Amino acid sequence: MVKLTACMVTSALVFMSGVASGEVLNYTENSSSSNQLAIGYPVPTPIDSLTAVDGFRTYDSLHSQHQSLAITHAEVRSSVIGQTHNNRDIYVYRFGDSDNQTNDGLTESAFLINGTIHAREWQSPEVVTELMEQLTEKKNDQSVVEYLLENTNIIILPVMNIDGFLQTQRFPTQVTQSPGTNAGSTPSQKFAEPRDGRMRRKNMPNVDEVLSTEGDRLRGVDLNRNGTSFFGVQPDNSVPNSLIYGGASAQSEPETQALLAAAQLGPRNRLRFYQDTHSFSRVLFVPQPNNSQRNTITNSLAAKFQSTTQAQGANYFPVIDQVGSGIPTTADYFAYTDLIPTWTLEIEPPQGFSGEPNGGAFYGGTGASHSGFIMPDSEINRTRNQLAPAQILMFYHQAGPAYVKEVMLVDSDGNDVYSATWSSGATRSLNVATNNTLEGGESYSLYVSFNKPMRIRNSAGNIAQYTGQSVSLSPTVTITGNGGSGDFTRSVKATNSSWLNQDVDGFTFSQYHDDAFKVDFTLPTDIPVSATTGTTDISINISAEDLAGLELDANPATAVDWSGGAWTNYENSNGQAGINGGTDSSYNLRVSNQNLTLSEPQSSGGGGGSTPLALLVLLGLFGLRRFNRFNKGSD
Amino acid sequence: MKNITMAALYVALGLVAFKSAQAVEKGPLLISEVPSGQVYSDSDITALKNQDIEDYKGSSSNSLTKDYLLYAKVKATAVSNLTDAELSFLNQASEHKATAFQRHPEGPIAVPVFDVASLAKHKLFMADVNRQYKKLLPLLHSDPASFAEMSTKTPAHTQAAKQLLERTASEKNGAVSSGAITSTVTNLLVDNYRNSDSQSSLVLLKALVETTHNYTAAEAVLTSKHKSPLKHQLLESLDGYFSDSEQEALLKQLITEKSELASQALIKYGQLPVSTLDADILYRTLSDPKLGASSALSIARLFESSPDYAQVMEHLKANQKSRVATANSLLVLKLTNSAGSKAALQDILNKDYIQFEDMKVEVSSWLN
Repeated sequence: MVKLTACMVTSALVFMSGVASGEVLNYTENSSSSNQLAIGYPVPTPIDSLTAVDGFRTYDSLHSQHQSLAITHAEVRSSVIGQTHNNRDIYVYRFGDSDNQTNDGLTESAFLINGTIHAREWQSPEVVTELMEQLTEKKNDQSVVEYLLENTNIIILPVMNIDGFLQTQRFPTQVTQSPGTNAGSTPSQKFAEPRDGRMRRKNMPNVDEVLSTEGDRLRGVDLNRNGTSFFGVQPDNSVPNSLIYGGASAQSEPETQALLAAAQLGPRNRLRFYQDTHSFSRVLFVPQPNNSQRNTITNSLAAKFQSTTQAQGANYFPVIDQVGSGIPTTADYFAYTDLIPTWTLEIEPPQGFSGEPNGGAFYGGTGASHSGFIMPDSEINRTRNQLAPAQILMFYHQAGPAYVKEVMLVDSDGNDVYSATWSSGATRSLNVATNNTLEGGESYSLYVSFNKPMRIRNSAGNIAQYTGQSVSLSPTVTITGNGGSGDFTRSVKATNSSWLNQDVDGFTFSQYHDDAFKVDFTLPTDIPVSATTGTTDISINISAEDLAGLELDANPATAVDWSGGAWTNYENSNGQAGINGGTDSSYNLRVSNQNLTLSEPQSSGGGGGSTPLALLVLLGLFGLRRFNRFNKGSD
Repeated sequence: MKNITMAALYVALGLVAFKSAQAVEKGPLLISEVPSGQVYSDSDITALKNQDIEDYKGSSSNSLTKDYLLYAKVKATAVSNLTDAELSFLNQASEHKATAFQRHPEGPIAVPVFDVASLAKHKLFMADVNRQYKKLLPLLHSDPASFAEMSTKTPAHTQAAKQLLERTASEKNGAVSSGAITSTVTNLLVDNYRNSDSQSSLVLLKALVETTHNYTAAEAVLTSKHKSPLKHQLLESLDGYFSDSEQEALLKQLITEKSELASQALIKYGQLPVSTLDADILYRTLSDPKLGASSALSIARLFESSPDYAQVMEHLKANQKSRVATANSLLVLKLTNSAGSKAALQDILNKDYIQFEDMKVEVSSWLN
């Protein structure tokens, strides 16, 4: 009896000291037993390689690759923004030029991407690293990426929960059993909530790196429940052994503090987008604070993200939260605190989609519990590539809507007739260098440039939609005025091929490929003019959607920014500020039409005038002559 | 009856082979769309699993219990020698639609608690693997050419052949144990699989490397024109099968040919014994725009046991005009992350060996 008591006391002491052994379980391809669970495909183990592989890289390789990007490219800078519980440096990487100014003299906007908050979600660091790699590979593309690097500040924290991630990689096929189970429990019970090893989710405060240690294997804080917004709202947030334990207090964890430090590099007040990168489910969880404009913009953005992925064979479906409800995630925190578009990206495999297998079964696996966290090696390369373009489009969108920078009209002899440029800065003025009178029936070239690349091209060199988007590819140009008796509108025909990525007749792009267009036209001769002066004032009206479908800022005089959950100074065609742009009609010119002998202009509306028939015939003959001359001249 | 059974099996296998990559317009099932009686909490599920399954049998039950019992029955079905009734049961189960859900921990979507259908499909697949195993077993020794041809016919054949090869004792040092395949058979199989160079043949070549340590098979896998995770996995475990000099030859080939495995090969190369590896390869590659950083990691790991900072500094000085060489020389010292490497970096800054301003800024940030 004494011996038995002593034995029990010893056991209790061993348990309390945290050195009792937990049962170690294994994931396998096809074998199942009391301590094995088949997932139906080879269980990935991490690979030492800096370049991407068909599989998952070790943390050491990923970190070395990140450091390599930082030292090799002037556009990437690394910073240590804190240490984990186990004193490992947490790195963040900033992508952009060395100043904090856009090309137009505005303060750059910033975006924050967080990766690997949950240790077992191996898809996350790979997807985030691919984004980092593409930003450097395409830095000289003279298009979207170069624009982003020169005009924004992209902050990427690839691995936030380093201690936990390393623990999962240390035991790539092993876990310990569900809480409350023991060696005699059934496999279903033991694997129901596997903990530590490959299935560690939380960080590692007071946790050793030995898998079988019973006393510490359930410890840790869910870093995605450690935020101030909605802190403690879920009952299990206050249960230390729970998977979703939120910590002793909001933002208590050093890893959370590191994320906040990363946001400060924006700086914080310039943040316009936040993504927390998780797996799995193949959805976006989109928080909805009580700010309708912010939610409208965010949900539209999420739809564009989805369509970009759909075009590549995936479907990252936005799941929109109820307004005002949430949990203490980092996405909720930035949504509610900063009023910017945020979401939790849950990388594939899907979960909960009708007609699509869940988790590992999506890849032909057994669908075993938690197998969605174990994506097959063969699938990650495709996944990386599907998600990078969608994230880049988000940055492009949140960099702000485009505005017209320069408008120029040149006559057929190459003389400037009109030339106007907007100044830099938050409050701009239109500097009109030349404003000569145009003449009806004369041919002109209209050149318009914007502050950002407006189009991209496919491999054949033709203008194309950004992946999955559906915007109007041609710019729209009209001439409007009033000859004295009524409004008139004339269209100038612009097409996809009006965009410029090279020199065309002396006109070329401004800073980025296809940030400008040139269109040749003949000023109509049926423009009504004043009977007194023989002239009329006209406006050139320009509209175009950018690659993400944002309309122009219709009034470039006040620069667009972001505040209180929405764009500021973003005007529509009527000059009203809001979340939609419109047509920029800032360019006022004068037209003479001396070949006409109209005493009283009759034209009204967009369809042309009701000029007497004889005059129309004369006009037609005249126009034909001019057209022929122009063509001969251009031979 | 047998034909009907077979047809059903093939239909099921077709389902197994199907991998949905199609985009769907409809989103995931939301928790609000599920009848409240079909939504369960973690504690409901834990309580269910912690009960003896016998307690539930025969009693009326909710959807969670029904799905659980069905799942348990599928799980308990042995795939060897399936009866018609078992096959029919698995086919039926492979169509099962979940009726018990729980809330996703991160958002308002409904997640099935048990995936009965996927487990049943996998059971059907494994049943076919079993059948093919029995057919392939006699061929391995008696007609290896037919074995080679048949083994890549379907995923089930390949899986069966892989299991067979893995279970077959290997021939080593001329001593043939019971069931071992001879070197003649091994060579014939390697030749066949190397010539067909398909994804299936890579699976079997890798199995041959693991069981016979056949160098030609390893070379065939690593230089295959197909991209495959198997290549990376084999490269990772090369030291378990080959001598240092054999590894050196294979790794050098991958580095020289700049294959998609080159980065991994460089890191493995640095792990060879110092007496085997040619450190010049690592230093030369530091100037390679694509692979230089991999060399840097490889050298940094070498420095854990025998640091030679002077050589890195010499390399940097000799290649001062090259951005890539400078960056990767600095990276060696950064990744080494020791007091000595930090002192070397400080020395480099002090002596102004770096000609690129952005790199000076980055290195300064490392030292602060």
